Amino acid sequence: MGYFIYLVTLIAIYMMVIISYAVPVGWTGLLTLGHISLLAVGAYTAAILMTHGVSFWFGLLAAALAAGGVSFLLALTARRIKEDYFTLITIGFIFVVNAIIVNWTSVTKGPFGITGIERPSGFEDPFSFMALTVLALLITAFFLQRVVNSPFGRALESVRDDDLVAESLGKPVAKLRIVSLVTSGVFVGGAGAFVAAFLQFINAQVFWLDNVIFILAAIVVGGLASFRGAIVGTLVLYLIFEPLRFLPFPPGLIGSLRLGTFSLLLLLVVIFRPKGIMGRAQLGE
Amino acid sequence: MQSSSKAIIWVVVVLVILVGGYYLYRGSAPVETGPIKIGVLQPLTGDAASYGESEYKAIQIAAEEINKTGGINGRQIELIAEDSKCDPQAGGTAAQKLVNVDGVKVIIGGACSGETLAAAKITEPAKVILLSPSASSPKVSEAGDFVFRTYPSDALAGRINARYAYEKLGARKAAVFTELTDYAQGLREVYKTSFQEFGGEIVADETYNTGDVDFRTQVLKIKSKNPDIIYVVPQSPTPGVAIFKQLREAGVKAQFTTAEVLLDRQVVKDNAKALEGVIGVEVAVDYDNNPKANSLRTAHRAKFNSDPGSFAANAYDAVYLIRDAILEKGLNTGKIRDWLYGVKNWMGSVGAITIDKNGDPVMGENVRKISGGAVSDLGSYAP
Amino acid sequence: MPIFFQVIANGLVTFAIYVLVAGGISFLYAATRIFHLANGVVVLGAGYVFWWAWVWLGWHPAAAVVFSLVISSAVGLLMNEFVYEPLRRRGTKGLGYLIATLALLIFGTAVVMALFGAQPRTFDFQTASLVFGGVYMTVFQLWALMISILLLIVFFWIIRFTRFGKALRATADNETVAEVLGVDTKMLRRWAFLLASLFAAVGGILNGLEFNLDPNMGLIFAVRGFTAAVIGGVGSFGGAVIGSALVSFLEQAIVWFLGAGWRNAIVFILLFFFLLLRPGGIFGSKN
Repeated sequence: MGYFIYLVTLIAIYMMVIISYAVPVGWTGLLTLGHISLLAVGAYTAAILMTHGVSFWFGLLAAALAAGGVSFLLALTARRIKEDYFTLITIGFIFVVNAIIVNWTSVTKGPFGITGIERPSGFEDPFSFMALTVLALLITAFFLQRVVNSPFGRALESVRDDDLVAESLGKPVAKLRIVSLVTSGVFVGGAGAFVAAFLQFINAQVFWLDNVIFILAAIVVGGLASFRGAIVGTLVLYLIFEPLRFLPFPPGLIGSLRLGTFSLLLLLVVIFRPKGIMGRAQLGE
Repeated sequence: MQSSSKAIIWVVVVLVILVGGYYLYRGSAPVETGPIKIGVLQPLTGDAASYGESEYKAIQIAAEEINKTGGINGRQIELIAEDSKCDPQAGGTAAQKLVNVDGVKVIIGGACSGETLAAAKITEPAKVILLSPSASSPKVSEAGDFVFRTYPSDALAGRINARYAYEKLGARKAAVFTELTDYAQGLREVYKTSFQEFGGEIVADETYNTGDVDFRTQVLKIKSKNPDIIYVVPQSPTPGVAIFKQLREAGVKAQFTTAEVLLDRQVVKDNAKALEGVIGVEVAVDYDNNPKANSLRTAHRAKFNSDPGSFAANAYDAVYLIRDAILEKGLNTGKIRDWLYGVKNWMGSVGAITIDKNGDPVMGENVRKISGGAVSDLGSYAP
Repeated sequence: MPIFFQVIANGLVTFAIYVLVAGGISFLYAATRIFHLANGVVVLGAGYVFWWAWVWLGWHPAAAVVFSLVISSAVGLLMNEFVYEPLRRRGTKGLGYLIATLALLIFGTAVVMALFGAQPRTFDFQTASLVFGGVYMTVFQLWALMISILLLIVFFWIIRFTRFGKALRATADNETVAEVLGVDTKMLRRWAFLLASLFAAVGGILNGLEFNLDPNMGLIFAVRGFTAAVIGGVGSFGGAVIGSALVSFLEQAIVWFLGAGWRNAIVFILLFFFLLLRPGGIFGSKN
């Protein structure tokens, strides 16, 4: 039972990241890979504040704002750069954030990581923390749903489908991209605060490359421009992931087996079924 | 909705039911009879895999030996290993599975401090014993009542090395070259403080990232400062070997010293030339004269065709400590915990171990020298 | 002063390896408009296959090299046939390829990890150090540099003086026109992948011997490769050379002045500024 609660909490946090991520990628056509670093920004902001006596709720707010701010900076570059290059920059962004985490020891404690992160009072036991996380997920989903079903959301989709046409129709393409990225960043930052409170110990290792492709694969496999797709994609990947642990393979092999399985799945989807399970669009079309 | 999408949704629902059902089934397996399940939490992939595997191998040998002589009170040991990847998140999930799905009462691991601290958050409330053979961060001392280790806190090895360098080797100018990980940085800080306290000067303080392979620039900087002695602390053997190689290529003339990762017996055998003359500090495991250590080495060679690796002795002893605890106190973790806190001068492959009130061991550390592809003992030295 | 030259000498070694990878990515982009980041897998795989043949199977090193080159080229060609060509037939553009190449990169890394284990491996291989006026280089480093330069010269000759080279340049300029003029662009792409994979494979073997084999290398080389290619100007031969040189020497300088922790980050910040101010790279157009 405890394992189940743990898994649900973890999946819920990642789902928050993934559906936020779906907005710039699926709806706006911006293939960013930097979300794991926005998560890191959120988690570290929250962790640093919480270990200095600040409450979880304030830490959550600060995390969201910090990540939003950073994604604003990242978004500024999206204005003048071609899409492929933008993606490459977001990869670089992961390295830059990692370097800051590891080297700015006075603030982030560098390789030692931050310990002793407390859960919000009243929510210390696993079950209630899980409930809180799921609630946060539902709020995120609800809010983002409203966003993409609004005229704003449709404007985003026109940018994705053909930005030149959108521009000529008078849509402020650059501004739309920035807002899309910042909104997503804010929610991912919030999820970061949950990561910090959940693990109660973070270091640079948690926010490194393994998870980047997982997040991307969940969106693509599930299908772009569809929240249900993102959710289904996450579940499919996780449900392939976790049970692999129980198979009678030597434990050392399981790591590469997981990486291999979902990258292969991503590849197959891109080649044979680019819309994913239930997407409404595809990238690079 | 397309019918194929619907089909896929059904598959997902069925999967959730199957997986959930499996968890519930596993969770209710009997605990009183049958094999004793011991969890193993080690980084089997990733950068720390070299000692994750090294510890896992030693644990397997210990378990096999115990099982061959009848197990513990007639029950065989069954090891359940999970990959923690030296990552708090993976470590936490793995610990969760071991505790809640497999129902283990004892976990040997993690290897890295990060994963150990994360796992402790799960083992403590569940009153599961967490015994780490190699976590070195001081934070582990306070990680919990049920958290123990068979590896002393960082401070010891770094300080011994610094004192030996200053007093015995007469070094006055030291260069430090360490990996950017918690383990290596911990040793670096202790070494620097100690060496300066004794009266020496740190002339160079270089670092490198996990995964870097090119150290020439740092080597050059170190060389330009003309140190008497160089202290290299890698997280895993490969970069350490490369650093010494590149130091030699650049013609650096100084005494080379290191921490225990490079004293891995197999690594020393395989890289005899690169590691010639290097001095290091490690736990006082004596593979030639200590019968337990000797037995470990023989079995390791027979089963894995290689010599024991880093922290192998610590891991081997961890299993035997648990065996002794269970033999005397049964499977009640509260009683095992009390027994462990009372350990005094217990003879392991690393020599005598006493466990203090924080669950940390007091054990000997010796200075070693690498020459001719083997490790020889230079005796113990006070910190 | 000798320190300065030593830093240059240090940089030459990494330059020799980077330029082989960056060059491949650069000219593949010119020929196919694909950022073949999965080239990193070829670098990774080549090193490991070479290790397997030489150390594990005990073959003669020359045979191991040939074997590695053959397998690596095959892998590169297969990636093209089974992933990029189908995507191209469907009319995919930019981002679709990027996702595919990233997936290939990760998948390739997973396969290598499964086959060869997740730990780094070294070759027990060291050559003598030579001194030139206070500067140290090993025999192998000199060989590596020479091999790399030789390959670059060969490549330059191919681009300038062969039919293939002309066809490549024509396609890079304008694919549709090239086809009209009779260039078989499909075969051209195949040859391009073959060549790029061979180069990457040589880089992988050299890297393995000089440094070590590490499963994460695939990603690292892909990233370094594209950084160097883009900074220098994708599609330009001189660009790949200059870009690789810049990245190599910049890395050495950063480690000297700031320490290793900032190495990758600063290189990316440089990339960032280039993309903002001069996306064409050093040798590219201003657009």
